[in-house]
Amino acid sequence: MKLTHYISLRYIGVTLLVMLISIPVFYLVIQNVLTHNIDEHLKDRQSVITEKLENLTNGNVISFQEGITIEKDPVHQVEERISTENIYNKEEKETESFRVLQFPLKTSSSFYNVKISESLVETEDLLKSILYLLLSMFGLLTLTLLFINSIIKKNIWKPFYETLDQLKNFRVDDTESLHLEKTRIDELSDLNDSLNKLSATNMKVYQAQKEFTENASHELQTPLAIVQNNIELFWQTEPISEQQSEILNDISLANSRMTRLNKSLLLLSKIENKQFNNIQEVNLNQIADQFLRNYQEQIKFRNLQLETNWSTPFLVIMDFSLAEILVGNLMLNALKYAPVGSTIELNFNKDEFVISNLAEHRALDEKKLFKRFQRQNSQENSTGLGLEIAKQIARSFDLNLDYFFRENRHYFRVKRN
Amino acid sequence: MKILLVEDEKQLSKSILSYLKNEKYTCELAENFESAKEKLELFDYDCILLDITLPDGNGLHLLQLLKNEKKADGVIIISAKNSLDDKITGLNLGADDYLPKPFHLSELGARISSVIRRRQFKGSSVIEINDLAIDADSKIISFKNIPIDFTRKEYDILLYLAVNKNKIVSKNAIAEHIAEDNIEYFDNFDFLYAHIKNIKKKLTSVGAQDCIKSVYGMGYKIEAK
Repeated sequence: MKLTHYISLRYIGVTLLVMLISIPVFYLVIQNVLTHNIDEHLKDRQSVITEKLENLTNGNVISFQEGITIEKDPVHQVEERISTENIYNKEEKETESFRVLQFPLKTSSSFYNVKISESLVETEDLLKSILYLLLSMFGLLTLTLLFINSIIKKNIWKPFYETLDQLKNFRVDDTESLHLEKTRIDELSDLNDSLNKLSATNMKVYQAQKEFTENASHELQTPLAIVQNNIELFWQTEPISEQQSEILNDISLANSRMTRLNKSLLLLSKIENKQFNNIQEVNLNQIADQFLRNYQEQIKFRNLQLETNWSTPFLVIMDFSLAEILVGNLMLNALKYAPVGSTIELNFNKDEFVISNLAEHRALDEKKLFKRFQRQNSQENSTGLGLEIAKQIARSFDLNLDYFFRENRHYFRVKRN
Repeated sequence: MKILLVEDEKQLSKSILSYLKNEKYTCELAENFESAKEKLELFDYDCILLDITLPDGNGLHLLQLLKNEKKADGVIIISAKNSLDDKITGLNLGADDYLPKPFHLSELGARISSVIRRRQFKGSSVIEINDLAIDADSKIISFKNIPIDFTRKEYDILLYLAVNKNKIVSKNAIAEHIAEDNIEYFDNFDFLYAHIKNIKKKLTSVGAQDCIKSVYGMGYKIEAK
């Protein structure tokens, strides 16, 4: 929800609440005041009538005004009381409300029951008008609020939204840092300043990290290369004893392993820094297919059967070479651990890729599986980074890599998040 | 065959030069950008081994220079950066190959031989060794004109040994050569042994003498007569 909408809704809500409480209260108060006024008026008339009746000499009571009923020498005497009554008006053919005051009166000559009534129609009309006025005021207020908010959004919040747009498009690996303008609003200016500084610092740190990765690579690979080359030169010297050649072989293998470890760590840090930008739509089925072609001899050599289901292509937007590494690592993992002569299952559909191989032992520990240098067995030749690399690649492109064990098979699944 | 090595790391260049001289190549060394530029302007080479990170410039600029002058030298970039960007830029600028450090010298030898073959013989790039003819274009190996049916990997191994003839090539180097980056997934060298066994069997079956010699604890070599 947009901030301005949020604020508008709160305003309208509070106004509505105040109106809901105030309108009935207002109505009741005004009604009371008006009724009280009418009652006062009725009391005044009571004293006038009392005086007139007391001074009445001829006993003729017909000459009184409309709305006054006088009963002379009644059977029962009424008690004095004031009340609201609905009386049917024959001429207008509707029921009207009246405020009625009735009281007994004893003069020197006779007894009377007097009833004075006053129509409440005008009071009701007044109340209605007030209610309409209040409601239209509320409507107008709401409209004004919305209007003000939309103007605020257009003008005052405009720099804020511009900042937001720039932030959305900002990438730490861009060449340009953020250039947010100053605004008239202090808070926004401060925000923009801070963001400018933050982006500049981040880019510096990112660049330093990127350079470090590349320099570390350079610095480490060169001595590794020197060791490797010298081992090979040594190899060609003669005579060389069996013992010497075995030592050389061990040094060479250790050196290769160190090289691979270095490469894998560099790759990991590159993935973590998102230093890959060959982003495109990648068909993982195709990559897997290509992989199987490249490794068919190894597959044949270990007499592995393949059961593939390519129902629909699994298309992912990602870096192409990382996609190759992701699929490759998982497939090599399966090839490596599948017992000779067993079946490897590959399943693709539009949202996932599952690869499974027969387990030689028990289920693997999922908690340790994707962690750095956590090996599930003591394969000397492995760096223990393959699955972590696969996991990191998946994570960087909004995919999820998980593991499960079913019917004595290991399953690795890459799924869209 | 004349080779120029552009490399600022002294110990590395020393080992590479010593290896290449053994291979009967004529080698020159340029240790920085300026001297490399000078040499490139003055002489022609069959192959240039180009390090990208030089103390006084980027090796890729040398490549650009060569391209502008339309020189036909074959170029192999040898870089420690192993960065995909460099690889793509380099190959786009017209480099023939890209070899990330560290590499096996036997691998470097194979790549140089392949570049020179492509540059020099243009089409008829046949390597002959002990009555075996390896046609690098059609990827056919024949013995006294009888073609032998090798699989792709077997062909790769044999060619690799052939271009490194008379040298011991380590099992590790061969395994890395055929597995490329995924060597760590081979549990052991069983796969390689199986291939070598097959190659030997195929060679003997057509009457070719078994020229692949196993060197205990180290690797294999082809001895040319």
